[in-house]
Formats: sequence, C-alpha cells, structure tokens
Amino acid sequence: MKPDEKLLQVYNLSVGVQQGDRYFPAVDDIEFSMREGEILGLVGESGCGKSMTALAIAGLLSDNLRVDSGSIVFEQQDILHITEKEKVRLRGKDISMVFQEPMSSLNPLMKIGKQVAEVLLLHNKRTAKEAATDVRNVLIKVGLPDPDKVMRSYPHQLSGGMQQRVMIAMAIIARPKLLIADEPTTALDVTMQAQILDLLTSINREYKIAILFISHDLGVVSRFCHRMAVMYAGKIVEEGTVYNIFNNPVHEYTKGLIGSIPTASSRGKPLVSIKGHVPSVFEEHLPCPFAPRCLSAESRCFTEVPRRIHLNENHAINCVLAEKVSEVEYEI
Amino acid sequence: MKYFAKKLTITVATVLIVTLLIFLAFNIVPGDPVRMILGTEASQERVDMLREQLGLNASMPSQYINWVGGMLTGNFGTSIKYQKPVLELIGQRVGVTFTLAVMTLILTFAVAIPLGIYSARKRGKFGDKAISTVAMVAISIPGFYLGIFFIWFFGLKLKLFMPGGYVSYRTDISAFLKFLIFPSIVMAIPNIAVVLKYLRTSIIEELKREYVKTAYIKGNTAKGVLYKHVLKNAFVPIISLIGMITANALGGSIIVEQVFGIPGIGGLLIGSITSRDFPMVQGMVVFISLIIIIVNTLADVAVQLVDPRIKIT
Repeated sequence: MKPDEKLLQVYNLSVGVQQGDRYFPAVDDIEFSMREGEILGLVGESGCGKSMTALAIAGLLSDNLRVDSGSIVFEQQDILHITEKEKVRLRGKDISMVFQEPMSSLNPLMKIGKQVAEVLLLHNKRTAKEAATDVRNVLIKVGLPDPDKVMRSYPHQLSGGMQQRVMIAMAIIARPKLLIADEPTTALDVTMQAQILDLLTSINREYKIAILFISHDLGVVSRFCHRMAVMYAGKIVEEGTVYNIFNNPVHEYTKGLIGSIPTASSRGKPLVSIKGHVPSVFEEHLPCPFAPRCLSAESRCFTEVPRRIHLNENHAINCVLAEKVSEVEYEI
Repeated sequence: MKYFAKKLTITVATVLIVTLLIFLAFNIVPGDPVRMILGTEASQERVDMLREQLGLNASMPSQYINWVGGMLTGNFGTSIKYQKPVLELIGQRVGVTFTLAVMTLILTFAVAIPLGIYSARKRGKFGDKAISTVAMVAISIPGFYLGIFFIWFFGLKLKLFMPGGYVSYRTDISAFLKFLIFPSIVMAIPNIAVVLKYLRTSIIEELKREYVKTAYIKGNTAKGVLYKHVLKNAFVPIISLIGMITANALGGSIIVEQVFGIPGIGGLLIGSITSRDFPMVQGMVVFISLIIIIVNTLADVAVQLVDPRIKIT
C-alpha cells in the first residue's frame, strides 16, 4: 500500500481536557488511516473519545479541549498546523460533518434553502441562483421529494428524519472528500436509521465520499462499514476490516463487545455484558486501561505499555498479550 | 394573521382591565378629592358644585363608563389646576419627552450592541472584564445622582451646556436638541449597561449551541458564524428587554426631567400629583399605561416575526 493513496492519516493523536493547569488525556496516542472512498467505523462506548477524535479532525474542538500531540494528515497536509484561513477553506469543501442531533444542529431562525445554499456561496462555487438549483437537486438526492417546500421551511417544521436528511444534503452539496458522521442515526427511530444508512451508502458509492462513521452500535457498523477501529478509554485497541474483526476478534474488549450483541440464537438467554465500567477521563489511566476488566489479563498487563501489532495488512491490535495470539488463522 | 387578530383582542382587553384598575385605585384611596382640592375650609356650596362638576354624584359603574366612554372620544377630562383638557396638556409636553426618549434609545443601542458583541467575543479577557466592571457601576448609580453629577461636571465645570437653560423646540430646534443631549446620556447609561450585559450573556449561550458547529463546518469564519448565525438567535431574548426600555423611556423619566428642568410628561405628572389635580393624574396614568401596553405588544409581535417557533399569546 503506497502512502499517497491515503486520504486521511492520523498519527499519535492525543486530545484532552484542559482544566486550569491540569490536562486530562481523553484520546491517547491513537493512529489510523482512511483511503479515498472508504467507510471507516469508529466504535466504542460513550466517553471513549470517538467524538473528540472526530471533532479534532474537523477542527471543531471547544475551548477547553486541546490537541496535545500528534498529527492529522489530510491529502498530504498536516491540518493541525495550518492557518485558520486554510482550515476555513477546507471545511465544507473537502471535509464536512453530520452530527447526532439534527434538530439542534440546524440554525432555528434560517430557512432550510438558505442554510443548504450557504455552503456553496461560502466557497464561491455558485451564484445564488445556481445554488438554488443545486440545493433543489441535492434535496431530492437525499430523499426529500418536495424540495421547494422544504427550502421554504424552518427546521422546526420538519421531522427528525427530514432534518437529518437536510444535514446530509448540506454536508455533501459541495462534494467533499471526507464526511464525518458522528452518531448520525442515534437520535432517530429504527426505521429512519435504516433509511439514513442506505442514503449514506449510496452517497459513498455514487460520489466516492469517504465516511468516518462514529457509532456505538456494532451491528450498524458491521453492516455499513468497510473497515473499523475499536476504541476503549481513549485508545484504539483493535483495527481492521469489518470481516476480519468480526470473524477473528483478538482483543478481549472486541470479543466482549461482539459477544454482547444479542443474536437470534441467544433469544431467551440473559444478555451478555462486560463486567466493570469504563474509567473516567479524570482517573489515572493504567498502561492498558482495559486490564482491570480483561478476562485474560496477566500481571504484566498492569505495567507494560501495549504496542501496536499488525497481525496482517488488514488487522492490527494494541495488546501486550498479542504476541501470543499473533498466529491467527484467517479463513479466506 | 389569525395570530395578530388574537394579539389585538388581548391588547384591548388589557387596556380595559388597566383602566378599571386605575379607576378603582383612585376611588379606593382614602380622602375626598373635592375636599382635597378645595381644602377643609371650603363652603358646602362650593364642595357640592365641584362634586357635580366632576361627576362624582353618579354611581361608581356609571362614573367608570362615563370616564372610559369619554376617553374613547378623546375626552380625558379637564385639569382642575390648568382648567384645560388633559389631553391638550399632555400633547404640549409629549414632544419633549418623546424627543428625549428617541435620543436615549438611539444612544443606548448604538453603544450597547457593539459593546455587548465585543464583550462576548473577548469573554474572560481584559476588555470584557473592564466593560463588565464599568457596566456594574453604571447600573448601581442612582439616576438623580448621575444627573446632578452631569450638571456639575459638564454644565458648571466644562460649560458644555447651560444647566436649567431649557430652550423650547419652537424657539430654537438646535439649542433644544443640544440641551437634551446630556439628559439623554444620563438616561441611556443604565440602559446601556443592562442591554450590553444581557446581549453578552445571550451571545455566549448561543455560541455553545450545536448549530454553531454546523456553521463552522460549512466553512464560515468566526466572524461569519457570529454575524450570520449567532447574532439573530441571540437577539430573540433581548427584544422583550428592548420593548421594556422603550416603553419606560417614552413614559417619561420623572427624575431626569426634574433634575434637568425639562418640561416633559414626567414633570407634568409630578406637578399634577402635588397639586392634587386628580383628573389630570388619572388621565396621565392611563396615557402612560397605553404607551407601555402598545410598545410591549409591538415587542411581542417583533419576537414572533424574528423567531417562527415562538407563539406568544
């Protein structure tokens, strides 16, 4: 794999909360990459740092959060170290984002047509008149059959599903290369979830827009993503193709997560869960934060810092014990 | 449209209730107005005459209906002191008060809005803290003190205006406006402090909302986010405040008018109360209430026009 094929590369990224003089790491030394047109799922429990990673890439970290170290390379350019002006040029045009709560993510006092067109006008791509045509087309594309009515509406006049479609329309209208979707279906009901995922899939195929899909729902990730990275307490514990990870989960956390998905065969049995709880950002972290909950933990898990071990080209793991399991048999 | 019809009905009802309350208040207050006007020494004949003249011999409901009915036809009653229609007397004074109010409001918003935006943008930094401190002081100083200070400092020390040298706009419009500048500053100072503090808080609250992230990710600069998205949202809760400030300014500032010797509505009200000119006081209270009700109704309508989600009834 040549490095220049990569759309996004994240190296040694650490992001944390700054409280006065104290700094608490929330994303701790993570590394992953995305190719053009790829859908990467970033999975983990709430508070594991997945949203913060997304916001760091988008450059939208709030004032109390800061990137401590590392680099985020987007198309051979370290976007952590470019000027604000260059960041502004990138946002909307090359990188866009869809959030969890569509209702609060839209400006309540601006009509939809104007909000969607704004992206094009900001990047000098169209005149106001041309933009209106583009907006109409993109609204039809995202599954809003009456675009003129939607354009004249205010956000509160639309349902949650329609609002999220508008958000997606806004995110794709300038044909960006990367779309960050931060739990885009969590606030929607189940039937709407499936429709939004179908929409994202078709956008990915048609426009070759890469999607960084943040989710806590392994089932959704397994159906929708090409590759996935599992995060736990600010670290990526396992990364690879969805196929490899679901068929040969190596990290005990990944195994636990996959084991806790209810299936048809487990009907009637008690739900499986991982014992213990996620350490808070403000607690002192162990070298391997999962060690206290890990079923195969040994004494060295509490002292040695796990390194990233590539099991093969499409499967990597962060675990001290991984040397033992590095001879995984892949059924191909 | 249905909304505006409803709003109008409610406004009219409010006005009626207010007149009823004013009427009852003036009747409940102990003491005979006729005796108050004429003094205890007056002969029974004169008392009876004035009582008849003021229509006080009729029953309370019919007195109320006569009074409200009179006002509907523009007859607010006759001042006892000046022996002239109340409305005519108010009309003579209203121009001065309204000019003062408009100057106060222009000053308030011209200063408070930029300062509020600046304070919110520099929140926590030196500029913001300096503005907040000055605003706190400005809110705390009583109006009469500030007025006296202005007369002493700008009038007597710097000789920028002539204290007590009010000139009617009928004589010299530019001298009239020049004289009103300093009282309007005195009236504007506490308003500026209140508006800028509310606006600052409102902008900071709005900046925390999710749509701000959306605005950034679309490719807006920090300025674009503020002026195109945040500001309009931040103004929604300020509109009612602006309404109240406007109504208060139009109702006339008794203190500032007294301190600077301006013959406005505030001065007229004080004069009428001290001389027990009760038809005059009653008429003026109704007039001031009307202004407050109308301006607040307009503010509600403005909120509704700016924010389509809000339905104030």
